[in-house]
Amino acid sequence: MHITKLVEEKPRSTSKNTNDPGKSGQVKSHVPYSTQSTAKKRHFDHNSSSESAPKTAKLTDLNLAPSGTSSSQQLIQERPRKPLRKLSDIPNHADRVYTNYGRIEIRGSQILKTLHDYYFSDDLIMSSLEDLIRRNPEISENVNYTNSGVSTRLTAGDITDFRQTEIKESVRKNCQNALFSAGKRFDPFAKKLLLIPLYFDKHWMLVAILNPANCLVETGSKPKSEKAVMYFLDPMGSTIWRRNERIELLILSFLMENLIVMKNPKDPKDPNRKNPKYSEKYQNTLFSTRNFDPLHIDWDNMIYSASFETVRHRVRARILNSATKKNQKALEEIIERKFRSDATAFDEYSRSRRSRSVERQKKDGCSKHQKRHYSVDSVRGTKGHVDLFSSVNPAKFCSHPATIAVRKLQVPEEYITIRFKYEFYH
Amino acid sequence: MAAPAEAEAEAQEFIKIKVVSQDSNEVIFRVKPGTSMAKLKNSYASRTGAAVGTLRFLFDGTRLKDEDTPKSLEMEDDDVIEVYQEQLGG
Repeated sequence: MHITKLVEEKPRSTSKNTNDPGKSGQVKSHVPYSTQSTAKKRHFDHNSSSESAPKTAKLTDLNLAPSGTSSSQQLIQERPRKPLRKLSDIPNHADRVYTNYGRIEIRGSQILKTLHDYYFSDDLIMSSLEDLIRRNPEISENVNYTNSGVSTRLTAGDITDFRQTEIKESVRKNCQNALFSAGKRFDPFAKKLLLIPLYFDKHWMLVAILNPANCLVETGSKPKSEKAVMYFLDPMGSTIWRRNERIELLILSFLMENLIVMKNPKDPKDPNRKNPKYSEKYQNTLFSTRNFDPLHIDWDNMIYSASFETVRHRVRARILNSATKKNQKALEEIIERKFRSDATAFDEYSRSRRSRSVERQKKDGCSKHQKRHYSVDSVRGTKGHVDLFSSVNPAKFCSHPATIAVRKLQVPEEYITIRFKYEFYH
Repeated sequence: MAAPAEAEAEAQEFIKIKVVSQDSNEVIFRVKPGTSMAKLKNSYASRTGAAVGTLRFLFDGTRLKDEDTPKSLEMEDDDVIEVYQEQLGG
């Protein structure tokens, strides 16, 4: 009814305006979009009189606005929203445990790691793995995996040791430490699939070994027909120079140490440490590195098409679903608190702006005293001024051997060692 | 005469547990068999100045839960708990 009323009222207003030709243009510009659209509808209705009747009927049926409204925009009902709480009113229990997967506890701080701009933590990775394996009893029977401590121990120490293509003594020691953190009951050859999540250089990788028991070769006998296959799943692909080979050597060394410890227990207190299965059958065993065949895999099926944000969302949803209703609310409050604190920090930053010189000091991260020497504006004091090499001399940057090497993704060995420290300063 | 016997009984009650960090620093705790691991975790975190949420405690390859006790984990004297920092990666 209200809409039809509007349609009737519209010509009256336009007729008044048309009397005054000078004002007609101004008035037209002030007509709101909604009334313009109704005017168009009216024009359409007059042209096609047969179609107008059902259309107006439909519009009148949609009369949801409360009586007294004069615009079709008000037909949209707004959802009632909760009033915003103060930041201090939102409770913060980030260190509390809200849910758990097996023995992995998910604390409140972990939910923040599923948000944008955060890296995944070991808890999220391990809980996802635990969840995947425990969901299916068949998988849990056949799959074995190491804890996050093993990956820390395996890749500990000097980075250059990890980059060697030969098994060094330090790497061997890492493997022994990793064995200790894997636990006494850990048997890498027991199940069909062994999963080793690896963490190195703020990057998560996964090593999956299919039929690990088959990489043990008895002396005097032929290798088994069904070979052990090691898959190294690295989202970065082969961009890092010879990483695949180094990981293979590292994992081989780890398995080798496992076998040695199983055969010759170091701990006399624990007789169970000696595994008769391996000490008797594989009295003189060898590892055959030739057993690893990386061509067995269908890579096309393994590429996961979901975006990072989708994965984050899924992990977050999984955590929230596994928690109780009360804990869900608490976890949501942690997220809300995070967003609110970020917003207030932004506000404070914008409010605290004093002058451009102070802003510049903050940006450069140096005091007023240092500023005399490190001034950007000063003609003389450009001694300590730092600028990107790429922006100062783009042509030189493009022709730099490191840039060319990065583009070709074949980084020469001499640049590998300084890759993390290399910065393009002039 | 009763005092040393009581002290001995008390000493038998406690278990000595080593908490070893990634960089091989050791902190020794004397705990009762019924003490919850949450207490041990919190005291270790307060000593090192790190948040509990950023530390991972492992005993014999398994993660320690807050409600675990030395008794439930069958811990003995001089057993080692490993502590790792949280790993964040992409």
